[in-house]
Amino acid sequence: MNINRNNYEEYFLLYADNELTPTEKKVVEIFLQENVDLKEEFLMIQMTVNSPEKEMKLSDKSFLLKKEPAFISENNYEEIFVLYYDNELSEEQKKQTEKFVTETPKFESEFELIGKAKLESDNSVVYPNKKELYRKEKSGKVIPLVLWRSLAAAVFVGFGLWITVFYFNKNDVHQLATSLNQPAKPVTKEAIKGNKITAENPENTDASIIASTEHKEQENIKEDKPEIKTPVLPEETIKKESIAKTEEKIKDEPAVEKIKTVNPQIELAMNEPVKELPEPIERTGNSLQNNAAVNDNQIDPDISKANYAHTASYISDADQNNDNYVFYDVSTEEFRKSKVGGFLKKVKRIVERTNPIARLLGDEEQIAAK
Amino acid sequence: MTEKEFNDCVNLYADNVYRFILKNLRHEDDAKDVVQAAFEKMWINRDKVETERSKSYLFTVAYHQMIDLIRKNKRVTLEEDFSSSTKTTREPQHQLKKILNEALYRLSETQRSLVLLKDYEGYSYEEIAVITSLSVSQVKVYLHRARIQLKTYLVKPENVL
Repeated sequence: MNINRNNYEEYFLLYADNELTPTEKKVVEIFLQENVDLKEEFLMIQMTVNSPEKEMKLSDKSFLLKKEPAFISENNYEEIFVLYYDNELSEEQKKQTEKFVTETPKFESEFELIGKAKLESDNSVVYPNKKELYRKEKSGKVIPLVLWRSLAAAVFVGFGLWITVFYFNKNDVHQLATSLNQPAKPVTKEAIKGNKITAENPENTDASIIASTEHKEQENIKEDKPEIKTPVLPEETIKKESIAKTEEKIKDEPAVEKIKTVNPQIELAMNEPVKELPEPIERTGNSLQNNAAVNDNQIDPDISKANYAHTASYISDADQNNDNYVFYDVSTEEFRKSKVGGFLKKVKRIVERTNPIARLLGDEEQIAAK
Repeated sequence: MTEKEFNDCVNLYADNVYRFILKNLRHEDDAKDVVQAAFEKMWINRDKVETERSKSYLFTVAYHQMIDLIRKNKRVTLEEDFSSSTKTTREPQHQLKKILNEALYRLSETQRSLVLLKDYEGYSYEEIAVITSLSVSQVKVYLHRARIQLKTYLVKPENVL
């Protein structure tokens, strides 16, 4: 605190307002002793302090006094009685109510009367048939349904896998059987009618299609397997065959007649070089085996030798030196593996063959045949 | 606050509040109305008001009621009420007190209220600030100005004792 002649007024005011500590007050008093000329101003400020006028007071304060209303009185006893029997009162309020009833006997009868007006539930009244009200939650059935569906899906997938594995295993067995010089069955009329591929039927639609698709791969095949060469046919047979084939193609005669017109010598000539090669024979046999249903009843002994024939194709724009026919050393299976459509057809056939019922029937027939 | 505590507050603080309001309004009936309204409000809010703070609560409510009444009526004029006040509330007093009262009524309502709260009730600046809803610095400045005004009035030649 630094009081001087420049700021003394503020401290005088604070002194008058009683806002200074005793120590500060002493400092002010010392300052006044040192500056006597300021004492008069200090006193004037002190004179501005008002003192309360004790005579100025309220003569009657009764209008300000309050009285808590009683919890229960003659004005509200009825409501309290009802609340009492409705069990809506606290323990303290209940005690006050009971005390009020005891102290004022004239309300006792009314208190009891209100108590009697309370209804009690009749437990003898029951609903006649509760079973009709019972309900079961549907959610209990949803879980088994999902389980059954998943089980069904699992069975379906498992069946699909089994079919696939069975198909490939069967394929391997067929290949093995064919490789063990199981002679392929000759092409029959039914097979030809069913547009099956045969070596002697170059005009066949499927064979033409396959040959045309494989025509682009012809050079590669030849390069890969130089041992396999297109057999060279004698000039006479070539001419006869070419003339006969072209005529048949133009006339669009049935495939059965085409087969009959095929010269056995040509077939032998075609097959001879192939016989010298063991591997192509196996493949050709396999392809023939896989080709179509075979009918033993109509086997032509000459034609039966065609199981060693290669896949053949007719090229219309080739020259007359028997170049119209191109023989491929590519098995039918390889053809079909390279084509998605062929694969799908094969899958369809396999599914038909592996039909459990049909398979069982087929096994019975085989057993019977044996 | 219970009923008993409330009635104790009436006995303890009713005169103080009344005095404070009457010194400002200089009208007994208005002062009584303001005091009654203040106690009524405290009764309504007795569950929220702590007994220790009841005096401050009463002064706060009474002060704002008084300000509202002054602003509404504007009927308090210095000359009239000063004479009536002296007639009804005072006996012949010392000359200084008379002059000081005259000076007090020349202050504004706010300044007067601050001086009365300080001098009559001894409230600190902080407490006065709470009651009057002013800041502490405002209370200090207004109060000091009021004191200077009172002193200036006292030292006037016609009022020199």
